[in-house]
Amino acid sequence: MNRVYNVTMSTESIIRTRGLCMRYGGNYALKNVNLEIAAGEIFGLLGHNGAGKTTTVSIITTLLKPSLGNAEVCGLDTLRDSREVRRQIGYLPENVELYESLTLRENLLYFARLSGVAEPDRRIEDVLQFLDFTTCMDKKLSTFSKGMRQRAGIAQAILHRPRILFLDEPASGLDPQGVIALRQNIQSLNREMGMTIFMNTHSLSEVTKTCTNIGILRQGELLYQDSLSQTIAAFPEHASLEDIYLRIDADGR
Amino acid sequence: MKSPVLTIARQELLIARTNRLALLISGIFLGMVSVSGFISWDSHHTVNSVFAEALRHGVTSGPNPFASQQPLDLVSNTVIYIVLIGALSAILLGVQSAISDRKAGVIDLLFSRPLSVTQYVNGKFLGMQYLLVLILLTAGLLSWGSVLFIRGEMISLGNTAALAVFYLLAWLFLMPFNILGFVFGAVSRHETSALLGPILLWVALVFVIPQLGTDAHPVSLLNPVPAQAASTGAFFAFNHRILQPLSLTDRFKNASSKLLGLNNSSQGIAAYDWLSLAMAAAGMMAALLLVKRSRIRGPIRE
Repeated sequence: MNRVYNVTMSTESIIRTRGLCMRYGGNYALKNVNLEIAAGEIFGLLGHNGAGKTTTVSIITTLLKPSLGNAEVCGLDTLRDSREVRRQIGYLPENVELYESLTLRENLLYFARLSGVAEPDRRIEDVLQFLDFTTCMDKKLSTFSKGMRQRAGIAQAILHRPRILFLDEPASGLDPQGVIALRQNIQSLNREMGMTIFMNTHSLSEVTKTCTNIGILRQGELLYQDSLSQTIAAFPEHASLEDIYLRIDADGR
Repeated sequence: MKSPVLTIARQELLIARTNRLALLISGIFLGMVSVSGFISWDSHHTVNSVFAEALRHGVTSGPNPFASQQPLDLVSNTVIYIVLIGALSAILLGVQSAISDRKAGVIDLLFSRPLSVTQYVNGKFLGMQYLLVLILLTAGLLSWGSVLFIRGEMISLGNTAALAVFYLLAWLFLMPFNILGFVFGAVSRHETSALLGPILLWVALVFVIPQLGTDAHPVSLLNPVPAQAASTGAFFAFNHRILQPLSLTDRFKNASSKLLGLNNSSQGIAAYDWLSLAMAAAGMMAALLLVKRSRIRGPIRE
């Protein structure tokens, strides 16, 4: 008998972690992380390099098993219901790598089929049209620039119309034009497709321009989580998010 | 909607088109198979000429013991090409199958999809076997064609069937090497160790183990003879008894000789040899099922 999944459809928490810990040998990469992210948010998880951002995303996207605690996506446990969780999410790692010797179409067809997309050819055309990327459909990945790879990565991540899109350092290594294009893509995915976006970043300017909510992670501990507007209102003495971030980070020491 | 196993197998074929090293080795293998018949014919022709010369000078008398040649004698060298180049090709296909995803850096992307490790490994296995069978099928057709061309007469149905079973046996022999390559490719940190590991094991299985059980000259191992020369020393005889099942090359050569009717060996099925090869293939398939997600490493270093 097929298992019936109770996928959360409300605007309540679409991602929730409770007491998430991750231990590598004697070191904790994550310590008791409790996150709550509502449907429709563009959530930016901030932190220095090595703060535990990628580990957090890896656990929520079912790629890693936590040492302690649990994570839920759309009301589904990431360990127990990992396959169903994967149907609900799209994932773009920091360095987008696809098959260099294949064309964009061949790459996307593979991932569409693996995700069980019906009519994959039509879906690929729709997605590439949405990303304004149809001209590159039959070009090999080896000829792509960093920005084009990023767009190809987003295309593979949204082929199956996921409810949540995870982006790990999406702006890393992009030129200003690439950053602007990426920002526009993220915002239209959120606005037009209703996708919840979870992005890891250490680019504060990007968070200011793109995100609706933020979380700050420091040495595996979640120091802060709130909406961007509330955050700015809560620290009136600070002129920018950069100052606020430095203040929260310093207080957490 | 295709199953993930078939999707991965299909992708395997797509990527194999661009895998230059595996294509090169497979090409060399097929090239050697296609000239194998001519090499056999030429050496047989040379021996007959020498005998005729000896007869003319009165050095020998009586009938020529080499006069008759079984049709499938012409593919005898293929046995050794399968052991040497075929096995290398199978290893390379296996290694490349595993490291292509790691080199492309798509392992995390793949496992962020509704895909289990078992489905992934089964898809890879299916794709690799499809390629291996394709290579052997081409080799079989080349062998059949070269025998037909050299002898200038139709090959009997019995010999055609024997040739087909011989290539089936070759698939059974090559499969463990293919899986060995895949396992090393999946778990090794570096591309070099992924390649060297299975090649070292191949050297051990093809050269070292047979050599430990015989006091024959090492070069004799390269002959497509049905069995090694009888050992005169107790040490070698003891080793031979112990290591016989592990000596996949000997098992393959012995079963092949029987199938092809080489070196006056009787035609038929060598059950013990088939069983040894089948067990090796089954053992490696079981090893493949033990590959866990945590063991499949991320990006590989060159």
